[in-house]
Amino acid sequence: MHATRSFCIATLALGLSGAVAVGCGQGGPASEAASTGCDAKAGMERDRCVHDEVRAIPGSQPDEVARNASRISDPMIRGAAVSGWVAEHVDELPVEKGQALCELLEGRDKSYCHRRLSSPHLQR
Amino acid sequence: MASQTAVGAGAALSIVGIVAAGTLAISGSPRPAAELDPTPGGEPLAATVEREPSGIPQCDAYRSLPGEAFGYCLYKIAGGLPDVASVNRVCGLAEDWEGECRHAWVAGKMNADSSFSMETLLEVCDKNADCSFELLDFRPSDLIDTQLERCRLYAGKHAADCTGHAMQRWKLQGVDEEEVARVAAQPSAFPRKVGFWLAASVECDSIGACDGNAAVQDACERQVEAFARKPEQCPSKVKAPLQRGKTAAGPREARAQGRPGNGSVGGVVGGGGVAGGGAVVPSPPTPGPAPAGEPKSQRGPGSQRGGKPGGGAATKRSPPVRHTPGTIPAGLPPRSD
Repeated sequence: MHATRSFCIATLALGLSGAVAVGCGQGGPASEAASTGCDAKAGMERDRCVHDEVRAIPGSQPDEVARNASRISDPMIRGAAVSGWVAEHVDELPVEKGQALCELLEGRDKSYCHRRLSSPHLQR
Repeated sequence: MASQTAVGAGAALSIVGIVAAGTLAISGSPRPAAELDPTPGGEPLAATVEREPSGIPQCDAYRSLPGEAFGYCLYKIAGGLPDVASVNRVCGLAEDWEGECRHAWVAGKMNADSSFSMETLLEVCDKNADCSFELLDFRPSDLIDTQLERCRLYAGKHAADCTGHAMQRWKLQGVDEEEVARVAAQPSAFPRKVGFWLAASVECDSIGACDGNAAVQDACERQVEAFARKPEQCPSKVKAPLQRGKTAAGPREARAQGRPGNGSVGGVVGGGGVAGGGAVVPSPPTPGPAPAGEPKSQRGPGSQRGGKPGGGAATKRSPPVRHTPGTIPAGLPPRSD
């Protein structure tokens, strides 16, 4: 599932949004399947980039969330991505898919993720 | 207002985008974001934001990183904050996660033994209606009138559900004709929630009558007809097991003990539960259709913004919960949400 990469790609993209990306991929986990602009970044910048990709995934694709979340090395950034995504799409999530995503979280956040799925008042 | 800075390493070019204003300024500046991009020997271009330090090193590592990791980190550590002032300061930095941060702290202080008053905890919940709802469900007032008023004032979008839960507890205490008449006479923001449980007493238990406040009485009478048509829809009379340390004293016993109102029942049928590692789960809405003209619940917690982050923290629910007689939170302003 994960491949260790050892490469250094530098890209410079200065678009209308002002986004700039230059980085070296080095040793971080990356999905073999996914190859995105995020892989041109490194460290937390890369994780944050994947986080943003996760948050943009439509509610109909929870499996894609799990797959991409696994590319995020930093647990805090990964947690924010998954927890935030579940909160945003709880209305659309099949319970078992949501539970699988909640299991990616840790501690009390995991508990409250499951609670969110099981509490009707949080799903309206 | 957050500013974003992207730095071109070689030219030390910084691009400061004032996001909210939609303006973009370019200026030469030192590299403020060197700590962000750990690329050894590289010349990274990294976007940063400037935030006030939280004083929590674990989270301040994310302070310059755009996005929600900083706020999420503060939410994750919120349970360990020592006092209300710390919560207000730290959670105030958590941006989109502020509501969850506050909820996470309150969740660990809900037990009556925590020494934090309802008033204090409700203030900390602030605009997080799920936090307030969970707290009101977990530590309900012994007085139904107080509980209903707190639901109205603090439970925000969950006020109707909170009212239903309060009335369910009230009914399960075992009420008499006098108590049914007293509650039926009170005006309610959620007459159909109140009426439903009054009707359960009137029709299902043959206790009391619907006579009272016009809206409540109307709702009660309609529900009485519904129960008469379908008696199998009468709510269960079986109480869930009480939590240790609680008493099951109903109004009669309470009055005999010189204590007004209802003894709180911990295990409301279909009511609060513990989920996933101890999260307190307010129960689903009480039976009965959503009252027409009464506010319907909206999205769940976190919905202070569009798709708000996940729930607050769960803490272990300590078994011996002792309820103290409730007091009307006179010192607190009405909630706006």
